[in-house]
Amino acid sequence: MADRGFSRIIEVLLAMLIISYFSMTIPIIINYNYSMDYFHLQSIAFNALYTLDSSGDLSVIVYNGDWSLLVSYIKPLIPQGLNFNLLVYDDNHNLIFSYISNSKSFNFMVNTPFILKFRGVTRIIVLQVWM
Amino acid sequence: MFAVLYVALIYQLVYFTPYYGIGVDVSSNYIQALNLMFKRSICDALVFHVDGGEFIKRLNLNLHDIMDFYPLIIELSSYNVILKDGYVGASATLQVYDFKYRCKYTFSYNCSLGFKIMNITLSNSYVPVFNDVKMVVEVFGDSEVLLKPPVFIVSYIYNGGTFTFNPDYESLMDGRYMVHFVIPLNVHAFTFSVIDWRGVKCIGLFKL
Repeated sequence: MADRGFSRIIEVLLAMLIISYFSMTIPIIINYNYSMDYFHLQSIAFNALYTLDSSGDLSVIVYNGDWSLLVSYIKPLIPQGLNFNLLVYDDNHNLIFSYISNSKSFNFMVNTPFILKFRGVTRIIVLQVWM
Repeated sequence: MFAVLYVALIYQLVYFTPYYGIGVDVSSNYIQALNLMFKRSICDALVFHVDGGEFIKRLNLNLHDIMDFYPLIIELSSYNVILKDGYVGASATLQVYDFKYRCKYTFSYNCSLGFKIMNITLSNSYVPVFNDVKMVVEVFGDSEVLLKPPVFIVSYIYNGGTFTFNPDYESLMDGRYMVHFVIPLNVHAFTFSVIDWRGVKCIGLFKL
């Protein structure tokens, strides 16, 4: 009888371990869903900047200060249903251009800075993407 | 008891397998963007050097600016700069320690521009006392040099004054261009410059 009682205690301890393991895991899973969306958005933003500059267009357009052309190039690279802001700063961190989307509500936002050094000019291009 | 443990194990496998998979995919876009930032920085430092500045000073400044925005430590392992008649180039190897993804990358870059005169012909111009010059020029360099057309500049000294202009040109195949301009009959030397879309400038002196 004493042995059976001891095994019950072991079972209870194991069950408690499993329950506490689940309780630790559930917040991670919630965080995981958030992280996937966050990293997905970040990936989209980096991909947009990379795609645009792999042809040299981002560098040339920003150097020339052709902001409307820049926005028109970025727009097709951001999937439908996502919003973006585009901010361009000079080397002293003065804002020299901003494109702000009309949509104000968002769950979360990613900021992706692209530090452009081109023909002696420094421009910090920040693409903010949110859903 | 084992059934509970089994369910817990499956549960973990289902939820955590994609979690580890995503990290690899995401970092590739991030690294590609970083890669371009470094490459632009090296070309910018080369432009600075061609204009009389110091390559390494400018490059360190550029890399420092990137480190202000990203959790990185960037070490310049090696670099080399070449300036000669008809060719300029810079190469650099960077060791990058990334605190965000907890990994180390080694990047090697080359930014270069050169040209060769493949053929040059002189003939009488329809403009009196001027020669008609037609040159086939081959422009070469790193993989990005011909992403956008270059700019050509001809400069010569005549009667004590310096004349500089952009000649007419047409694109041929494989980075070759037909450049066409006129030059006074008694001018027997000129400088020919090519500037690529990144601002890298390469100069050559030619005698007729």
